[in-house]
Amino acid sequence: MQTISNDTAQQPLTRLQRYGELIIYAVIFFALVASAFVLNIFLTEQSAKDTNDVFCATRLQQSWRKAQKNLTEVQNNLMTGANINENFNNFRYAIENFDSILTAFYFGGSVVIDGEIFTLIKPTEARPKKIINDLQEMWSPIKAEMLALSRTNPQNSATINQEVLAKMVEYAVTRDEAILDASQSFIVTLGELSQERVSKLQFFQILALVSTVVVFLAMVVRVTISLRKKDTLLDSQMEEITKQRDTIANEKERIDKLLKDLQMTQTQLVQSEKMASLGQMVAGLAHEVNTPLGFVRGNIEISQRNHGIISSALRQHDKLRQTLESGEVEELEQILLEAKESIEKINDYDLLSKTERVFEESLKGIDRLQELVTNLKNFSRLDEAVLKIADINEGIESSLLIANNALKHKAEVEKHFAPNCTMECYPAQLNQVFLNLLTNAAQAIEEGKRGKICISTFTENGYVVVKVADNGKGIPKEHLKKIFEPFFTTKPIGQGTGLGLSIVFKIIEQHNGTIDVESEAGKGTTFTIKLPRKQPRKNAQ
Amino acid sequence: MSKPKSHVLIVDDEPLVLNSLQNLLEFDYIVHRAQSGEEALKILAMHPIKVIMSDQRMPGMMGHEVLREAKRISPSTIRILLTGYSDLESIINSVNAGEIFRYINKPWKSEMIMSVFKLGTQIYDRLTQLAPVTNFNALVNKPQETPNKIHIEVEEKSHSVLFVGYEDGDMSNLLRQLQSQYDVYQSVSVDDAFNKIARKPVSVIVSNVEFGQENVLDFLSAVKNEYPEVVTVILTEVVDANLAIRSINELNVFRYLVKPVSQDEFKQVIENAVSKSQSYKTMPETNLLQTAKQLAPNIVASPSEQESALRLKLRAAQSALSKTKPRDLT
Repeated sequence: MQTISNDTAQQPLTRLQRYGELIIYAVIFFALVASAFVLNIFLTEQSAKDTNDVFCATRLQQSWRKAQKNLTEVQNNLMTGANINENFNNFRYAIENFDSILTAFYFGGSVVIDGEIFTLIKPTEARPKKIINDLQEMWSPIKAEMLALSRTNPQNSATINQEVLAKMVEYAVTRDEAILDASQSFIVTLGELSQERVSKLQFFQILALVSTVVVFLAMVVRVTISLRKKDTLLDSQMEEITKQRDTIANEKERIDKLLKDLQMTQTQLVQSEKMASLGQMVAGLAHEVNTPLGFVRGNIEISQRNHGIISSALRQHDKLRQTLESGEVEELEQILLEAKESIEKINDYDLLSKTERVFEESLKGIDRLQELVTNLKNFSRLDEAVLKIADINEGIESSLLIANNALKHKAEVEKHFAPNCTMECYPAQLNQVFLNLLTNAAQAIEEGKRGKICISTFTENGYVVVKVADNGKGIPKEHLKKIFEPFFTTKPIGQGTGLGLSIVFKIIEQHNGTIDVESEAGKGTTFTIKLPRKQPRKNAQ
Repeated sequence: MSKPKSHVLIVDDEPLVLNSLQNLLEFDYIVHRAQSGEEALKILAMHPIKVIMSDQRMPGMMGHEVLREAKRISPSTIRILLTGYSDLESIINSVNAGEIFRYINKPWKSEMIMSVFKLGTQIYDRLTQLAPVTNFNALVNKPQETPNKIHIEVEEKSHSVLFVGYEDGDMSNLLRQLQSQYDVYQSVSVDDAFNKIARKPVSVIVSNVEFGQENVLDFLSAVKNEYPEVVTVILTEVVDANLAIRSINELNVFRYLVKPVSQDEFKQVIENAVSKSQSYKTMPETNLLQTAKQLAPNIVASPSEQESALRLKLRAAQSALSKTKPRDLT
């Protein structure tokens, strides 16, 4: 019990801890995954931008080269008089592109290249910034003149300022190498920077992924450990449960056995109570039977003896008559003496009338035996195990006859029976009730005193009431509540099982009746039984 | 015919029983009848009653109580209990309190009643020949005097008490108490008991009812046949009504005690038994069993086969001892 309560106290804490830890792991895991994802996006974006930058830078270089080349061509063509239109146009386009790209790089902003818009930002790193600044420095002194030149109409070669053109060509040629170099190094720088950034980002990405894996593994390990812990806990709990189940099963078995033992003991006790009252009854009955049996047997033997005496008298009388008839008188005196002797015995002891009385008394004895057997049968009523209508008074009468032996030495029995106390009952069971109450009443009368037992019956609103009252020693107040409890007895061990009145109570209960007891110490006890005349139909459905 | 009829008394609360018994007995005896113990004791005091037979279960005084009182009023009167139901308690009471001569069950046989009454009156006559009826009162007082006399003798020459059939230690407390006054022996087997009896006659045998294979009644009968003055006491845990009845009728057992018994009670019993044995020696007529055997050998139970065998054994023990004895002495 103790361990279980401890467990329950610990559980919420560990649960919170366990889940809290899991949540932390999950958050870290998802954060890392998200950061790797974000980094990836960032990387993609950055590399797209870098590509743009490199593309624009390449275009810057190309534009310059094209512009320089076409400008030189325009000068040549002007000298040769060839058409300059195409070259001039190319020059214009290239130099505008160059300017716009460089401006976009220098100031940040968008630029349209071949109809596509690129958004550029000012380089933040020192190296590209310096190159762009150098380029701007190289470009800005000539920018306005060059752009003005490019805007002149090539159709009219006269409008082209030869001087400016020459100056521009010269500038372009002299600066060509420097600008090309600068833009080349700009491209390279941009590429290098892009490369650097990519590797940096890739490093972070890898770091994030590695951390994710680490966190994931940690989580796995942690969960595995906790699962295993939980498993062992579950296992031990399982074991505990199995153990407890076994104990419970054992306990149940034990209780079952105890219950069975108890039932058996109860049965045995009820049986021994029955045997005890049976023993008492048998002792009484044996005496009741053996007394008439004794004198009837004695009487028969006496009749036999008397019959012998009388028939010998008759024989002598016969002999006397024959002697008288034959006239042989010499023996007459002797025979007469013998006959007289026989007759004298018969007369002295009045054998004839006594024999008659012996027969009468024997018949009385036999009647008594017969009555006893009839009452025994009535009492047990073994042939009537069903509910039937019987007269309570008859039941009491036959119980009285059975208990007679126990009662007659101790008390006068007074009967007040109301007529027609018939009711539905199990007569044999009620007889047991009356017998128990009567023997209890007899036992309540103190040794050597002549008591009085009063039995009365009457009917009342569909009930039959039986009162059994004695003037014995009474029941102490503290015992009154307990007398109907099984095994309650005030008799010494071995003399009473304490079941008599509990059996009475049960039988009355079965008859849907009530039993009450009033008692005063030293004055006597009265049991009042109230039984309904009709039993409810149990199986009527 | 010429001999005057003896007075007998029958007690029963059932008049029809009295009628029947009276019809049976009136040819040979003057029959007095009583329907209660109180009435019986009155009659007993008025007439020289030779035999009294009482029913056990009666309202008021019980049979054994009537007989106990009868013994006090008229010790020579032979006491018989007639009962319709033999419960052990009444049997034991009748032996221990009433010291009855016979225990008869209802329904009875006329022949049995007649022979027991005949024997009873004869024993009574024997007893009273010592002390004529005129000295009736002297006889009455005798039992009260004798114990004192005997008590002195006890101190002079020790009486021996033999316990038969008890486990060692079973009786140690009782034995120890008796040792100061008596020679106390103990035997577990019948053979051993015979040897001890043959060596030195004992006054009292205290016997269990169950030991070895021997029937205890046969054993005690065999002993009593050879040593009539031995007084038998049965002390047992076994409650057997039939055995108790037989021990009265066949053995005239002095006491039938059912364990547990208090030490004082037991000591008293042994004391009484010793004085009884003493009176058997000085006045053999008081030994009812022995007298009955002499008067009517045919109606006293003839020895069973086993008892005869036991008697032979006992005699063998005696003769073996008598052969060795002179040698021991010389």
